[in-house]
Amino acid sequence: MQIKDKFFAENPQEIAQKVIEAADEGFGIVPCGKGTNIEKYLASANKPVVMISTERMDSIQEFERDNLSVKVQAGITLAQLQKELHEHDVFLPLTVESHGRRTIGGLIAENEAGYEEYAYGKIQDYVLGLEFVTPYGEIVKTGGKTVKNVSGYDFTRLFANSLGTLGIITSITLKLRPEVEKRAAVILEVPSLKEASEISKKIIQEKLVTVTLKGYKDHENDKWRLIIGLAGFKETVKHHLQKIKKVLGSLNYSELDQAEVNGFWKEYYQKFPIYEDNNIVGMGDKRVLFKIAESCEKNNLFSQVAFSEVDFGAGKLIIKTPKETKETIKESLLAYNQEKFNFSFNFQKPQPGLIYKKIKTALDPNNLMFPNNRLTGGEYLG
Amino acid sequence: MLDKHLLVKLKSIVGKEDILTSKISREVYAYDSSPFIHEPEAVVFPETTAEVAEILKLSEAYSIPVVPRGAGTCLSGGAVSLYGGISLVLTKMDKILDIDTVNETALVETGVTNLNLQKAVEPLGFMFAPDPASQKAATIGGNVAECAGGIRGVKYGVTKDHVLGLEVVLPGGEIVTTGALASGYGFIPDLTGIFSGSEGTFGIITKILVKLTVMPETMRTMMAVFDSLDKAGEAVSAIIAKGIVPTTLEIMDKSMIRAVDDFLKLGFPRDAEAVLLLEVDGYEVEIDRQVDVIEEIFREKKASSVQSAKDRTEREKLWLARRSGNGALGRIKPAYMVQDITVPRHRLPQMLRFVSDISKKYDITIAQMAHAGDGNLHPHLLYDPDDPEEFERVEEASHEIFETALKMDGTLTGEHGIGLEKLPFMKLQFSEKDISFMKRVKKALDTNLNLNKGKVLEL
Ligand SMILES: Cc1cc2nc3c(=O)[nH]c(=O)nc-3n(C[C@H](O)[C@H](O)[C@H](O)COP(=O)(O)OP(=O)(O)OC[C@H]3O[C@@H](n4cnc5c(N)ncnc54)[C@H](O)[C@@H]3O)c2cc1C
Repeated sequence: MQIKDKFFAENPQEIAQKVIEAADEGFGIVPCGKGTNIEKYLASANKPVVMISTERMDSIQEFERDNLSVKVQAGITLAQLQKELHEHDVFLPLTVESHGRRTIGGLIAENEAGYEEYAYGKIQDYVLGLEFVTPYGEIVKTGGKTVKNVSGYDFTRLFANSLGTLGIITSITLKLRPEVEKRAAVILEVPSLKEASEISKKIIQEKLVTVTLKGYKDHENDKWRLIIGLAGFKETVKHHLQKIKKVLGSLNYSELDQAEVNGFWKEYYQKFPIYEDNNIVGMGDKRVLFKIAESCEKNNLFSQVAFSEVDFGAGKLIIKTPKETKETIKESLLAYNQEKFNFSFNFQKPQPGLIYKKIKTALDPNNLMFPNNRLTGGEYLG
Repeated sequence: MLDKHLLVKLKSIVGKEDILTSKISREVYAYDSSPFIHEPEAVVFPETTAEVAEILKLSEAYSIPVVPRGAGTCLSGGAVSLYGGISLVLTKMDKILDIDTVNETALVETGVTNLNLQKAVEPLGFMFAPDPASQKAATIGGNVAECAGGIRGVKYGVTKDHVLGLEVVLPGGEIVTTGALASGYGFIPDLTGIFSGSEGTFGIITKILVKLTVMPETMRTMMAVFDSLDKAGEAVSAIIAKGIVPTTLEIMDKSMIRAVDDFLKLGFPRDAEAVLLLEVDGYEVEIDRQVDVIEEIFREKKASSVQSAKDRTEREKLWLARRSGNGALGRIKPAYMVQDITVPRHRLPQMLRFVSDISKKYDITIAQMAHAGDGNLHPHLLYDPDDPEEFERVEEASHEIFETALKMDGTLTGEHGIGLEKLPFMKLQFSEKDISFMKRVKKALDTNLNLNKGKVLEL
């Protein structure tokens, strides 16, 4: 085992100190929240590493309802934070059912989005300010707590999907939204994925208060289902439900109210956890997604897998497959992806690009930060 | 620095019609919309990304300073050529390359004006949400480089909230892509965000993939007059607390109201301390209830008058006071300095009050309008350029305004940028470590410091 130490920091100063010590020894530095998902990757690290966990840094530092902002330490979990926010009728548009156990720091390092991504985007869109520890052990601040801020460079999005390779996030100021008045959803069984995609295209054209637009299928029930989530003022949600019914024509559907929507997603993510090594994930241009999904269906690919989700709203494809078929499925997906540029999969070797390389070299010349993850040239564990 | 030999090389890249070197053209491009004036040695108009790349290679090889420039509407000196060299004017790269209604995006070249993009997407039921007042001239590249805001910002955010990917030419001439324009998007770091507000110092943005926003079905405009800043501030908080996010929320203080009223005779009450101009947008079925709630709040907070516009003409009337601010001030003093500090929204009344106290302390006129919904103030400090002593007081007052905004957890600038103008104040807002980190990133991307050197950071 290459893990020298797992250090549970209480504050940014301790982290800075630990980073300096680790760097002196030439050890790798791996930032983590709970770190549960990470340890297994570290077995193959090319140098000894020190894990620095922000798990104990889990407090809400400042909540300003009137400013629609909250400042938290990096180790707070999404569920902890949302619970507090909920009591004040505001929310961070990242869903607890899908990501509740993750820490905010970790969510930023992976630039995650919830099941309402179609409407609300990714977590990077909500970061107003950050404090982080650099690979040199300095504590640096960027941004602030105002929604408008062009003073100095804006590094609030520097860490989006940086996977812990550029520094350790210690505190985050997030922009919040007032709680929406009403949520509802329509769910229906569709004869085929093609049908689901046709409906989805129409729904997109209708310009409704759609927050979710996903097709999914699990092996227990060999039918595609489509879920269309709405959120907004109550009159609008009601009116848009009518519009959806028109689009659906004679198809049978059921309607979910707010409580049922939450219940639905809770069960959904218990059944299909999204952090599983065997999940294949693809994302990009929705026009390409529609085509890939069509090819998958034509070639019966979905019948070989345990679970599939096609997020027409966010432009994402998730496939859960048994180990035996994984390789052939990957090959098929690559073959279906005619427009390679606009759509990518998690099993492809990432090319982080020249800007990242230049910045990475300047910030962390000895490649100490998370030395073996998929961005920094370690073994690729896609 | 730019000798004949280099000019020949430049001409061979862009063609002789796309380069200006006459005294008069260099003088024209010495300005942006700030008081700073610095002449370039040549004004060059590339038409393609490849040309931009060739120019930057030349700049790198011969250490020629380059300043990218859109429409030159920058208010902080970002677009002037502090060290001479090339003023790289990107307005000929003005094609809209794709409008995609499935992904709800548009791909544009950097020089497309904000207004032209709006016009192109409007027939399809979309808008580009950032709508700076300079939208007729300002380019999308300039919007990104300054992270421009607009009056719809309360609901829709600023430019960075609507940029999905970029094509950028780095100072060494390498052409790279970021975000949704990069292959591997979603699984690699997304560095689009660092170009937001980078003021042309990291690279030259050549293409931008922007997010489009569904054009709201309808909109309502309201105006309320208050006899106290606090009541106006409370009204703003109460509206947000009700879960209503207005599209626009502008405020004018007493000095501004007086100036406008003396100019246009709109009949505002003489004891008016604040005027709120508010717009909400959305779907037809939801809008009236929002208006009712807002009007109710205005009454509860004892607004001395509330008006709503029922049509376009009435809307224009309500906007007249806000739009006439700058003109009205010109009648009082020949010149003004505008600040752009931003504070957390709930601190706005306190900040407005502080600024009006400052005007008494320094015996100058400060008229204020503010994007109240974002906490972004624009105090206009009036002065007479022929009175250096007065100008000094204006500068001292500005300094105190900066310090106070920062004490309230605010920022020096919400949308106009640091440029040259606020460079001396960076130290007030940032620690040495913060600044040294900024320098490290700047040098990582622009090692030889050819690109817009002297803006944002002292280097
Ligand atoms: C009357 C008036 C009203 C205004 N109203 C607003 C407002 O409501 N909101 C607001 O936010 N601002 C406003 N501004 C400021 C200004 O219009 C904005 O900052 C605008 O985004 C600048 O665009 P531009 O094309 O004129 O850029 P320029 O002024 O030409 O350049 C601005 C900066 O961007 C850099 N730059 C330009 N293009 C590129 C590129 N392709 N790649 C890299 N760097 C580049 C330049 O080097 C410079 O540092 C206003 C200005 C005026 C004069």
